[in-house]
Amino acid sequence: MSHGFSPKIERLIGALRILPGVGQKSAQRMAFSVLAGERQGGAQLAEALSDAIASVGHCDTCRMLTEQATCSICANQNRHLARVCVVESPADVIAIETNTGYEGRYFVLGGRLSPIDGVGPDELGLDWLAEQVADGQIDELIMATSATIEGQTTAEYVADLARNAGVVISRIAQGVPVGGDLETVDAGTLSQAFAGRSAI
Amino acid sequence: MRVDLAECIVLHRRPWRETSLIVEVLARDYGRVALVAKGARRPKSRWSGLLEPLGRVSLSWQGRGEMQTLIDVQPDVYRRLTDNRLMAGWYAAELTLRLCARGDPNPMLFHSLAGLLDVLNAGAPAVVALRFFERDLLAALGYGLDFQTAADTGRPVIAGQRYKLVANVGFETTNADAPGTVDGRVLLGLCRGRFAQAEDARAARDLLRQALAPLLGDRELKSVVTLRAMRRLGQRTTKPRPSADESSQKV
Repeated sequence: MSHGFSPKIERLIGALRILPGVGQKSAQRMAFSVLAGERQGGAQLAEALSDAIASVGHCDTCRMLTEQATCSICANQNRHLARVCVVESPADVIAIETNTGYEGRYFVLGGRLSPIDGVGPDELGLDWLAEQVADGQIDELIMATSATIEGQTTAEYVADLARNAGVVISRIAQGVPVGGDLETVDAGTLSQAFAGRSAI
Repeated sequence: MRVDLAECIVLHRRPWRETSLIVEVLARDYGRVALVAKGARRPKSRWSGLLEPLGRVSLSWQGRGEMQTLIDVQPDVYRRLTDNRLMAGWYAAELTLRLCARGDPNPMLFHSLAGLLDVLNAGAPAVVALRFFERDLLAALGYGLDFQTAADTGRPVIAGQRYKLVANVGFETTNADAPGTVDGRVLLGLCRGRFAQAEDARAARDLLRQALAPLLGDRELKSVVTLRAMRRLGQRTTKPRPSADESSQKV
């Protein structure tokens, strides 16, 4: 669809639209902002983008995004490196790092088991996690996958992989949000909250 | 067309655009329906958590053509499958998706799937419960098998006699104790909804696989492929389980 832009501007707008939450209108605003005033910033953005794409890969140990062979968390000897929290995405690592006092390390799956969609253990690097379990590198696994049926499938399967190796396995709790009233909580969450109640 | 609070089982959902979902459901009175759930992936969506695969819900929708627009979701009783029953649920959902065409009401199929999810939720062994679901699925799709009568002789099926499944004909009497043949006890077990021995459930699994194969064609079910990959990795990394546990591990 032509909007009367020159081909290069059209291409820039099209490229910006791959970003989440960016539609035609936002992409136009971004493109004009860069071309009309922020040219230097735009050049820095372009350079940062191509540099990051060229050099950022996955941590050898946990599959977190990093430009080093081992990410800063896995390389930190002050952390409890035999305690591993299994998460679905790099964003989950940041959320846990920012909001909890967790001192172990992570394993980033990059998705979750979804049998009907053909997302299996190979796609999630589970062979690598299983190898770390078999090598005795892990003595505790905390499953922090999403509270969906796929997240649960993932958690149960990973737990199965590790159970016979004597690893302590837990799944993060699901329940009533902080500041939430019981009457507004949905049936599934409330049921989980009851099933997972803890002694006080 | 507008539909109000139809009883449904969610079979599958996939992301659609930025914030929406396409949900495939099996509705008791409408068959398989594809619905767009607009905004269901927004962080504060009131539908989040209600449109999970294998969930029972009442849905309202409207629209024309292939894709309808979801307008209301009411949760049914909350159920939660665990361990290999979860994989059994995935398998059943995919089998239904694959073999049931859209827009063809099939209450019998709905009740089979709902019944399967109920018994799995109540703790029934997956390897057994799935066989009765497969039996009912075949019947609901018009491929029902007569487990009580031998097709060649017209005599009742009896325990201790071997039978073989002949496509489009039924079970014929045979003397061969060869692969692909099955004891009458297994057929009677399938018919009565109860197996006499644990090994019968496994024999029934192979038999029903054979019966479903022509309907599935060359394309293997993804859940079966995934399950196989999961088992392969499991075997590589963990010690062998005691054999008594084996039947409960297989789907």
